[in-house]
Amino acid sequence: MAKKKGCLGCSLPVVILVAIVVLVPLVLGLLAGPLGKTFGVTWLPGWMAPSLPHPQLPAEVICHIFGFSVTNSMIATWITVVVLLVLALLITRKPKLIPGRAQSAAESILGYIYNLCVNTAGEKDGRKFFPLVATIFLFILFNALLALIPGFGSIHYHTAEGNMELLRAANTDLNTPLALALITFCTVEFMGFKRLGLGYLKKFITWGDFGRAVGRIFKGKFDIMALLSGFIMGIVGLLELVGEFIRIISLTFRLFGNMLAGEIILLVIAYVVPYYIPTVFYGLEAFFAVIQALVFGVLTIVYISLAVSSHGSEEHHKTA
Amino acid sequence: MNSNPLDSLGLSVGGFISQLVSFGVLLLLLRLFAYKPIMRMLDNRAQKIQESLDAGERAKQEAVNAEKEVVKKTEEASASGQKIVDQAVKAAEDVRRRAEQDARKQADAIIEKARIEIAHEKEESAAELRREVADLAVAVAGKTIGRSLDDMTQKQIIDEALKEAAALGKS
Repeated sequence: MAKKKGCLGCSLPVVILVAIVVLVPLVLGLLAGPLGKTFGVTWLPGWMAPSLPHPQLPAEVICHIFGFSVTNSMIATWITVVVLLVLALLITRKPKLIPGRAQSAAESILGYIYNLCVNTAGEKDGRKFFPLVATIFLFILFNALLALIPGFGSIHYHTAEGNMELLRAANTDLNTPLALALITFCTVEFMGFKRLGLGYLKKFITWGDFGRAVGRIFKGKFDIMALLSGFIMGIVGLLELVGEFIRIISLTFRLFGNMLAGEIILLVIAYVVPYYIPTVFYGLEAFFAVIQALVFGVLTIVYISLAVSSHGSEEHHKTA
Repeated sequence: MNSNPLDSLGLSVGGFISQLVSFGVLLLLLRLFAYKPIMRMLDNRAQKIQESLDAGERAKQEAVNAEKEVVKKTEEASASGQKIVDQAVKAAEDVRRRAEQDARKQADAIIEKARIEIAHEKEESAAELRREVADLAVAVAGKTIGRSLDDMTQKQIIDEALKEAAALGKS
């Protein structure tokens, strides 16, 4: 491009205008916020400064229905459920062989998850558990994405206990990740017992080698290596058992921590630099939402496929 | 409120059950209204595409076969045409040869006939000549001997002379 007057291909007045539009809110926001206050800027109007966020862990109770406490995260969950159902009905109302845009999008998302399930757990199990994995994915994703809609966290509701947010991202309420993690855990254990019967427990109770080594001592053959390796095998089984239960905690707090941290980062960034910069973090949060949803779904199907195949693979491992 | 340490994390039985139920309902309804129709649709489409591909493959195969058939037919037609031409040439050759033979035979016959005729003619002219010569000789002789022979005698003499001539000619 030929060198012209002005810069960046624009004439000087345009550049100045853009700079004003971009920089003035940025700088004023920064000055009106906590940083400005720290450096003694008090002449800016109070409405420009965002209010100090005070995130809290428990979801706030909005009202009581028949003695049942309805929290703001429950309301958000219900909205997510309704939104997902409406979308599903709209898309599948008239499924066409040659899909429209919405149907195409839904099909590619579900098709992606379906392929993931089938590739991980095989054709039969993948097909069987696809609905669970897809629902986990969509539920987490839409919970997180809905919370990113502007205004989601800013609608306030007045109760006897004070002024509180009407909606709160369900993933940031520990009950939701815990419920999902327990569903995954129960499905995994149920499938393990259903497929392998009591043999499923062989993965956890691995004291057989140790017992045989001890038995041989009574026959007069003292083999310290066999005793030791048997003991280690037993401990490994115990660790396996503990690990099985730790999955609940890891699944729960991975989702909870990521989502809550994202929410808090958005609040803090919006408090410190109210203009432009939060947009970047919104994009980041949308990305994290997809990642967390995918991770939870993938882990679910991986755990299931491990549970239904662990026995066989262990046998194979022993003979190998 | 914070009697239980889990409460400060926000865990509550009511909230937990509520989320469990919400998720369960969502799972059930999505399974009914989203996954089943969409999966059916995807399967249908996969099947349709497979069928179309198969049909395309079949059509291609048929086209190839048809082309082969055409080539084969063309070759056959060409071969049979060649055969017909060959036959025709041979027949023409036959006809020509036969015509030639006929012509030669005819010509031979004509020549033969002409020869016979000529021989006949020759003989006749020879006889005529003899007769003339005889007449002339008789006339000359008559003149010479001074008397004319009557026709009867004349004829008799001629015949005798001719017989002698013929005998001469034969010996």
